[in-house]
Amino acid sequence: MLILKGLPCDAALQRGLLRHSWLKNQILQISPDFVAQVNSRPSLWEERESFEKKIQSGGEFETKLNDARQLIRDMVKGFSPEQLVDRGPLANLSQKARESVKAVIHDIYLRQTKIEQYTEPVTRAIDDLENALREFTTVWYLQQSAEQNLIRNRFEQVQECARILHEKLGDLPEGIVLP
Amino acid sequence: MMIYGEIDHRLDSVVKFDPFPVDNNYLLVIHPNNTERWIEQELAERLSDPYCKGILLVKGVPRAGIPNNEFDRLKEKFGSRFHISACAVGTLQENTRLSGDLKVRFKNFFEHVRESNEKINWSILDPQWPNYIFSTYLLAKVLTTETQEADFIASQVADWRSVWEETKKEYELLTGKSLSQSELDKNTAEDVADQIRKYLLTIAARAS
Repeated sequence: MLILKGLPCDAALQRGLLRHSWLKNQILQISPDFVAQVNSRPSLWEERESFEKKIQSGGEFETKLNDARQLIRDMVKGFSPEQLVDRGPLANLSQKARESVKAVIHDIYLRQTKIEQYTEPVTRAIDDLENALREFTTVWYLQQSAEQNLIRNRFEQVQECARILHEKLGDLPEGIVLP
Repeated sequence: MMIYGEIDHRLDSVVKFDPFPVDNNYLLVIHPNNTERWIEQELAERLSDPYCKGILLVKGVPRAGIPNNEFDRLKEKFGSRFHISACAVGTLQENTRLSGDLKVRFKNFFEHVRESNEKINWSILDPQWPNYIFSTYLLAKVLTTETQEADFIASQVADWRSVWEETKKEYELLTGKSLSQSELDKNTAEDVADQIRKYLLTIAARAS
């Protein structure tokens, strides 16, 4: 596959943000021991407040899960070279000519990349992470001063699901694909 | 930022050089007779001037004859203030003389430099992905298919001829070689797509 890295591509940008800014920086690089301490130590109230803004209902992690689902809905067109037709020198062609180029190029791209086959495993990874986060959040809020081991254990499960989603998103192209 | 040139008249249509500076930030545009020797003997010294915010080498051959891997090494060594034009820019008498899309890019680049004071955005001059080349690649890929759309595109040559002509020029300025086909149609599309793909793969390899 010939990937046009560096050329503006919203799907690639979203893929990168989800993998690095969210999964890597906010989940995978956080120590489960630290998370357990944030839950139990009153002196870490500032950290707790900041962390809860992420995990609470309607919080940042829920937004990111929605972003990930949106990426899956958009990705087939998002990485397609058909978008180049309207923004480069071919934009001056007649509408019928542009539509013809787009149709054929998109079709070749679908056949060569089989990009649609990534939808199911990524969706499953998003579902699993959502479930793991829900279980973790339940433990976090329902058990006042919950046993540190339980918090740690549930966060490790979140991390395992985040790792899988990070890997599945990594299977997607890093830019627009040229067939 | 000011712009100083140690170069002949090949860029006259896109920039008016300033007289040499005393205490202003500037871009230096150079046409070295011997590129490798100039880089070896002069580049570090020129960049040691704190007012020098960029050095651009321009010659009548792509990348002033410096291989891509050596160019990458030089960029790493000398940093973002150093650049060599990816495209060949010949004298007014040569067929690589400044024209078309490249001329517009140079003009926009120098306007950007005039408005900047510190950092120079070289991608205005040398976009990572050459527009015309990959546009023609898409056209060629369509023409290789046995589809109604391919027949329609083939019948609309007048619509995309200028894209094809600019592509031939862009390819030559970037690679120093001509595409082996002078026309793009259903018979030549496969060959054109292959040549362009090989070139685009070299860019992709550098980008990764």
